[in-house]
Amino acid sequence: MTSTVPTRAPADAARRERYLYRLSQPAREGVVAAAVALGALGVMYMWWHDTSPASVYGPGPWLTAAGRVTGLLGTYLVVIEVLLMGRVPWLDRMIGMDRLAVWHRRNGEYSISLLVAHAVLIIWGYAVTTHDGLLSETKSVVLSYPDMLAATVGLGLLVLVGVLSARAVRKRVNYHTWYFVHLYTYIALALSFAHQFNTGADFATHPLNRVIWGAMYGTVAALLISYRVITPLVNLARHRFVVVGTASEGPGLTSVYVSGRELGKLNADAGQFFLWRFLTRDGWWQAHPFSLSAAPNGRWFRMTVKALGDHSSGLATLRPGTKVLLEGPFGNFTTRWRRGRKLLMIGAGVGITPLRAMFEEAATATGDVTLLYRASNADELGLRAELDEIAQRRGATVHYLVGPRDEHPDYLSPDHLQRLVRDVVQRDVYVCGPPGFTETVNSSLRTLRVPRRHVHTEMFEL
Amino acid sequence: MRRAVIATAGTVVGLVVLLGYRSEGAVKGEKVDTGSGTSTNASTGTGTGTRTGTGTGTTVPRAASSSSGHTYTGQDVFYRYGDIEVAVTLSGSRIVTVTVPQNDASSPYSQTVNSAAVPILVKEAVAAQGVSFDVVSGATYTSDAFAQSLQSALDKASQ
Repeated sequence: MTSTVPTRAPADAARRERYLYRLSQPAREGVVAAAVALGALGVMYMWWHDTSPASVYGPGPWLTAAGRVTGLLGTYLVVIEVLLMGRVPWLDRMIGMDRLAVWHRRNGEYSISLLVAHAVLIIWGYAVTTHDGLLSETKSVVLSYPDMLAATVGLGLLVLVGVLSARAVRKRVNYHTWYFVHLYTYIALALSFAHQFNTGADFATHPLNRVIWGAMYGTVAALLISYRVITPLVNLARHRFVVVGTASEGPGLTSVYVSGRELGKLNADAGQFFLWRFLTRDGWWQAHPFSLSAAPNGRWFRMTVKALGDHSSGLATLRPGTKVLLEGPFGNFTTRWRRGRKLLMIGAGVGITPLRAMFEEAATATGDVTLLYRASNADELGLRAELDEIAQRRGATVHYLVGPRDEHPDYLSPDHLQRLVRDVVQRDVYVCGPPGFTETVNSSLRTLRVPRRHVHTEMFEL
Repeated sequence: MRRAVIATAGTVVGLVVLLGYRSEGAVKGEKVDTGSGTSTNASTGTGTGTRTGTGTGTTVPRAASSSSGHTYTGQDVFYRYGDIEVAVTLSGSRIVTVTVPQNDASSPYSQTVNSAAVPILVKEAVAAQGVSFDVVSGATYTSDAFAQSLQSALDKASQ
């Protein structure tokens, strides 16, 4: 299969998908959340089983016991945390990378808080039990228990990662710093491992718990190595991705074309994205998520970006022949998930890039597709010429909703959407754009009573 | 912010419920008197002194026996409510681990008291790096016997 578009109708592919993948987005998220919660219950059962009721008496032991539970739970969730960002294909299919990033943020805040609570509660509990001061108890716990010094350093690193990722701080830290500090998470995991087995009440004398816990770490490590390291390298060797050209698409918009061997075998769908890692001297270490801005055709992939950050603006100067490490394809934002035949796409800003690809693919496959493109002024309508051409050639419809927001607050109102697209209720709707825009559109669609399962959104806030 | 409040409140409530249920047995029947500092049987008076069996001999080590260092086992000390034997692992002259290979109690109540007190004693012994720690209130005899056995282990080590 060298050309994906004509030979592979998304609806057929969807029918072949496994049952779980065909559930609605909230249901799929529910399944994964339930699996994570089940694991957490297992972890708590481990503690329950190992703890004699008599040992939980009085304030000291209560605090210590609370510290053990938070420690076990926090560690479990930190392991889940790295798995969420492990680029695991089935997690991407079930939830989508955009939601995974949201989960990652929330779970990160929670798990690190739990581990801080773990340290505080254990020391506090010991201090109460031994009638010792908090400071001297801290000193004795950190310095005299096996492997506690390493674990303390590990917790410090985790807290550092958490602080640097907090929204207020993250804005002031450059990507480079944030990225490398994030890698400390792995060091923190390694440093804190030994103290669990050698000091942890639930592992020191419980060989079975050690096996289970070790298996958990081992499984996640294997998944990470497989999907973050081996898969990309194998793909690089097999497909030999290389930049074949760049093109200006109007003010501030640049497209990059990447070619390679047997691209059809990657089974990329329009609407999906890759992590692009251009192997130049300065850029090789960073991988950025960009959607395909043209339907995959088996010969090349294209991404189109607005010149925003340092990385984005440097793309225009990429030389043909530059090697690229592509990771992916990722994302659930494809027509594979549609419920019916007729489609409506509503986009704004850079959100137009995946929609541009899907519009092309859908127009080719079914023809019954309408695109609404919102922009404050006509200059910002990137890729307009291409959209017009596709619409004309395939008999699809494009509406441009142009004008400043304060002059046209009703462009995305339920009434206006209904007037533009009479049968909006019967359509699968794909929404992609800035957060505020997506919210407005979704609220209008709810007012119009478009079924939730028919609304597909991609969050562009990674 | 709201999410943080909910998560915190949920976690605290969950912990309290979980721990509350787990400690139920201790609260209902066999509460350990942590405040009085007197002998354990004074407060509840169940099963005093009568030797009902050999007990389970639960081992309650504070930490896994470390791969480094030497382990010395102290003498099996018999006391009023059972017998206890303490082993210590030293790295140089530092106490790394304290374990309790033998811990039999004469009554279920004493077992309950011991299972609560011994982990604390183990921890205290490691923290104090020796026998100069406080007795666990409510488990005076166990504390003394524990200290005696530990001392004999340390004596062995220094020979």
